[in-house]
Amino acid sequence: MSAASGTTLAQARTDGHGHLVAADELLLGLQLRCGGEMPGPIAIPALREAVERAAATRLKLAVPVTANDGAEWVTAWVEIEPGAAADEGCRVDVRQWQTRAVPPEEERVAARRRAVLVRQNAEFSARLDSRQCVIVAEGSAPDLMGLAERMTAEPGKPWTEFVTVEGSAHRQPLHWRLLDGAKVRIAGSDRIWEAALLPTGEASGRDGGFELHLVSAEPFPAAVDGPAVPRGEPARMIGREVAPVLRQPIARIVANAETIRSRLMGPLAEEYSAYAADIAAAGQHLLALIDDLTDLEVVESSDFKTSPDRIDLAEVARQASGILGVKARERGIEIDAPRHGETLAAVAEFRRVLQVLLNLIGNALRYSPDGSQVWIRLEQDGPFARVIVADQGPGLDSDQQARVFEKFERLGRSGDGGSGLGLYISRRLARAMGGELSVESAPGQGARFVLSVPAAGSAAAA
Amino acid sequence: MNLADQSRPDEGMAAMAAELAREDRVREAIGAVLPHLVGGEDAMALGEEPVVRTRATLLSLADDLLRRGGGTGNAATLHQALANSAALLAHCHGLALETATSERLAAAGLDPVLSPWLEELLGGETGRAALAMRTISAQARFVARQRRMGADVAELPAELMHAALLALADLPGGPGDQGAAALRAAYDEGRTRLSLLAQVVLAGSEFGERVLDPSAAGFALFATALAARSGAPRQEVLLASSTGQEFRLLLLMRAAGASAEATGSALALIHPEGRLPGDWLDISHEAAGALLAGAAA
Repeated sequence: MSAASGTTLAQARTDGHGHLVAADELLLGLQLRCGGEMPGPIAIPALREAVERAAATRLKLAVPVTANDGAEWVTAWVEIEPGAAADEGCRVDVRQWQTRAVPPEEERVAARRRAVLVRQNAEFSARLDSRQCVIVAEGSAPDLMGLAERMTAEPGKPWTEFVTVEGSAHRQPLHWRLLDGAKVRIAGSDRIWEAALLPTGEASGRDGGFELHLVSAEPFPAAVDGPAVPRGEPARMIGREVAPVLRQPIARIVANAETIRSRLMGPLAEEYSAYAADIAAAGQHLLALIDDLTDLEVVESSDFKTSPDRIDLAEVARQASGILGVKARERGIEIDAPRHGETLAAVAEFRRVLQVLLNLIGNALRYSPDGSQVWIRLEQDGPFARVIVADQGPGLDSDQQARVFEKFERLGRSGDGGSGLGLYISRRLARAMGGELSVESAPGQGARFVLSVPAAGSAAAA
Repeated sequence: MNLADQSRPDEGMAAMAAELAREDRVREAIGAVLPHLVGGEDAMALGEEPVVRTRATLLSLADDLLRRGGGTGNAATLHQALANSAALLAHCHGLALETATSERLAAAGLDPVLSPWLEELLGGETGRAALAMRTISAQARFVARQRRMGADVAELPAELMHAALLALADLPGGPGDQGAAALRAAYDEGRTRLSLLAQVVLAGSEFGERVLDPSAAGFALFATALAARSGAPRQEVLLASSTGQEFRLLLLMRAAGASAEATGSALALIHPEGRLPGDWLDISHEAAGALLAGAAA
């Protein structure tokens, strides 16, 4: 709507305190929608500012006044005439009045930004169909694992049946706009959750489903279960209890720095984006360090045991090389992993062997020249099954070979993000599984790290 | 005062430090300003003509204030007082630049008073036609007065009018509060040229992007519209339209939401020298706003 000039569309009066004491419907309506009353202080910020200015300067002003009353933007041209006496208040004449809806573009940008934030901070996410029934669900917080399992066990049910929506007794989901932002309680979690529903496929015009994300303002409480560690244990670097509490804020720092770096939240000067990348990299480094220190504490505790199982070393090796494939491609290094079909049965704990191999292959990638090769070979040697990781790096002399498995040993390197704990932890893990981790190398010849674990059916596995 | 037998040495030192600081400010300004004055590149904003016009406009304002306020007082003293207000000085400098640019565009065939857009409004609905008529006569008065290097104190925006009236009231031997009060009562910001231009821009909001086309709107309306749409002060637009400030105008246009084509044709008209790479026109609206905000910070 637009009305123009010359004539007066509405009038109003203020008193000596800047309160609105009389107003025609047009202005009064805006005053009320902005949360004000009459008589009462002017609730339209730009108008209040202009009236104060007119009263202070004793000059007749003519200014545009823009206000957002929640539903639309109003732009009005107003003239404000202060009374003859200083305490007399002002007369307000509205000459033009225009309204426009808050542009859809602004709404879309705001929605996109919210989606980025929600996805980043969610500790539980699920895909819902168009009737808000669960298709898949996944939780990352320990206290939401149960919810994810319950939902996965009974797909096709509305998500509201698995949770308690505060202030609503409805079993059937309400319209998604009413549930978006609702406070939710979940069996198994003491925290209060906020549900975020992001419609999918709306842009393409299809009757899409929703992403359901659960976000909590409180962090997961630090775990205090598990037996108290008896005195006399090795000095603790970082508590097993503290690690998850440390991980969470750092993970959030990394995620937010990544958001800034990728300019998801808006334009940003190049150097600030680079600073954000530094923050993210430093955060990743801290996370890796926490992992190492937690592992260190675990492998050094006297009651540390692995849970051996019958595993296929070839499969573990293929998984490890798959996980590090991207990193290898970045450096142009080829990982030559065991072929599909190749197997070597062993008795060990799958995730510990994987951890050792990730460490060995990661080191090989870090210290090998670009464009070189890393080989992963399998062999059975009597009662032991072996995985050999060989690289074309600078190699190690005998003195270095003797020191490389020591705690915090960096062999004089620094600044590459290593903690000097990886090989120490790996060897402790290998020995805990009844095996060994050793190295064969000569300077300039590359290095061969050999992980031995009991072969399946051997006496060592017993 | 005799500093040698100063009874309160602290006070003497403070006065000396203040004098030295004042002289230092002038010395620092020399390095920054002299290259532009002597005629290196980007000389337009500090060229002899805008500087002379700025001084003349301020003098004319001082004369006008004294004449309307009651006739007594020293115009040169008032001129000095007005020049001490950075906002007033910037306003007069902006008007000088506006005149320089619209004279340049007039030579290229763009009428400084009547534009196609105002003519269209004249032929339309009565209320808007009356507004357009008032605007055209205010613009005509402005152009005529600027050509005589004159200024009308009643044309100042309210804040500057307030500052000017305070200076008048404080003028030794001047008309005092009474003279200022009469001027204050007679003032109506809604009748000033700048206010009328802003009202026309608001009334013509359905003209969309055409208000950002200087050849359709005329330079005066264009500057007001661009300031309103980009959120920058009108003074910024006037500066950006002076020679050597082409990129800033590009950024203001893009930050105001103008298309690359509209930005390109406005630049071609106002900055025909065209020094910038063509693909700079494609900078996003957000990035342009961010660059401007960064430049202002």
